[in-house]
Amino acid sequence: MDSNDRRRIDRGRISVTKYQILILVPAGGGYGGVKMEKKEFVCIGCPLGCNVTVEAEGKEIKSITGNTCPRGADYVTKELTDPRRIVTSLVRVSGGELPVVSVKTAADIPKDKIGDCIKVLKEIELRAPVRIGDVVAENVCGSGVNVIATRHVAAV
Amino acid sequence: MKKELVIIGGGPAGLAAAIAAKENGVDDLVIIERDGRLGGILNQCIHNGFGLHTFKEELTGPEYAGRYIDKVLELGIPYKLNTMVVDLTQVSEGADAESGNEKADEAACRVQSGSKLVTVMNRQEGLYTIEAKAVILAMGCRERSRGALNIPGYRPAGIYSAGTAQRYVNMEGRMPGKEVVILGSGDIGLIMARRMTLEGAKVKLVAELMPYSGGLKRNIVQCLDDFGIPLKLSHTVVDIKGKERVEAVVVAQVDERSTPIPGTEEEITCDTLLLSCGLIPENELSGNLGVEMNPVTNGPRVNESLETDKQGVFACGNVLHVHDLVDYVSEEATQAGKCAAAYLQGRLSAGETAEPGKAGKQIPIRAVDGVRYTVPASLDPHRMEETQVVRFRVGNVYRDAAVEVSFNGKVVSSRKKKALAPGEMEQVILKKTDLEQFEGLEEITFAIRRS
Repeated sequence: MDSNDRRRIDRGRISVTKYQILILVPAGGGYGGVKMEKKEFVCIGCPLGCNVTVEAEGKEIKSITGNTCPRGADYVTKELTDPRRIVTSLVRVSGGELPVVSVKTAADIPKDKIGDCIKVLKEIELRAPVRIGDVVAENVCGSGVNVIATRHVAAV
Repeated sequence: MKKELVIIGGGPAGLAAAIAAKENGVDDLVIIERDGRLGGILNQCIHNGFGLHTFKEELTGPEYAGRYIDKVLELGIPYKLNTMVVDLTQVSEGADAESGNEKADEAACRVQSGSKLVTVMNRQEGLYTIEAKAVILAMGCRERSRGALNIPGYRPAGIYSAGTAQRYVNMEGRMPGKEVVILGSGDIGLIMARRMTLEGAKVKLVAELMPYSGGLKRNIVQCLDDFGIPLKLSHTVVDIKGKERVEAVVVAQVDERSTPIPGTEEEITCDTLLLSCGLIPENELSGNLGVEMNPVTNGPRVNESLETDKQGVFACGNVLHVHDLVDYVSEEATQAGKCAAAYLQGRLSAGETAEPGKAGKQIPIRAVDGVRYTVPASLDPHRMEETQVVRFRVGNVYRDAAVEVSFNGKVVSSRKKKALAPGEMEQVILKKTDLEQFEGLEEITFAIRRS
């Protein structure tokens, strides 16, 4: 086992708490001042998977360490200031060849809206036929992004 | 029934192969698909990330499949659904000299004679045989089962392969359970951890036997870390509790030999265990035909034309070797379709040293020092196109290593790699001119060198 393997194991062990270990350090020692946060990310830019550490006060990044290339810095900046994801899920369909149709957000939406987006989709029931690209929900959770169907479901 | 070309499997490989064959002049072809729709497993892969290389956009599985299905329909390529291929054999007689090309020598004509018998079955037409001049194997792969993993315990309900659960959830709208443990950190397991969570289940743990994950990095971040799902590396399931229904699993840490370490056992209450422990190319039919297999990939051994040791039998996609990205499956299958067309049109010459049963002067590609296998396993510099993609996987995690290609033991290229992992397929592109210019080429070697 080389040090690389060890690192990966360690990462595996801490992954559950990765987003909970916000080490809060009062900046300048002032009570109630802006707090310095330290966050760790695993860059997804390439198979290297750098462990990148970011120090930030609120959304203002003070330092980025551990990245091997600029992509690592771009990735963590985005993850820290505006993390977004494409959400894929299902919507129920009646009268179709399948009881559900797969859907996606047409663009990425803020990560913290994933849960609400899923809740909205659970309340929708479509009637077959459904075509690829059909809009299932407009401006989901105020994100400005539509949810669209990703497959055809023929009526039966 | 007679057909020039039969494509076994209507998933991403079969679709791309059929399109390429048709576009290269093969009109008398058919795709045989055992499911009720074309598209294969892509139909249940509703997550995004497909097609980044091919279409330069992030599609979901059904969308990616949809593009190829539309093309198949547009080209009027015939296909049969709900139809199972039950046997595949080759007849030694049945010469079809007309498919031999003037340029090909007598030996080549003789070995091209054996047509293939594809025995198929469906509810409408019963059991019948299609006589094909060429066959493309595109059957995909299946998941390693609990039986193959030797996990002790009763056989309660609630144990699924990750792909089975994926089909239940994503296509049939059913949930396999509420509290889930996933064994194996392959991509399907990671994707299902997120799917089950979004559908309201509690995924308590993903356990991985190896000290590294078999899945793509972005899946670990976006499927596990985003949802706070723990991943325990070097851990495995050593017992399944429950008689009628899964009640708990016992997870233990393993040592370097993957043996559970006594005293590290931990019981985790759950009602569902998903297995994502690797994929095995589905090659029963290839076996029936007597195709030479590669024991490392569990897929056929193929040459630069993706042709097996049986002339006119080509293989592509996950039946050949398990891929990470469907884009590469499509790319590989396109090549198989083109080569099948060339074969049928007599353009795939057998080379000057052809003997019966041998395609031509094949230069073996040996995989050594950390390279587990290569596809193709050999190539003919005269038959190959201007460039040849050689795909391979490594057997371990490497940092700052180099992929070294040697001709007759002489290093001809060394490409530095910051990181190599078994979960990520690698490729090297060989140039025809380099191979032709190397005098007396007998052997190509692929190796990993640590710096």
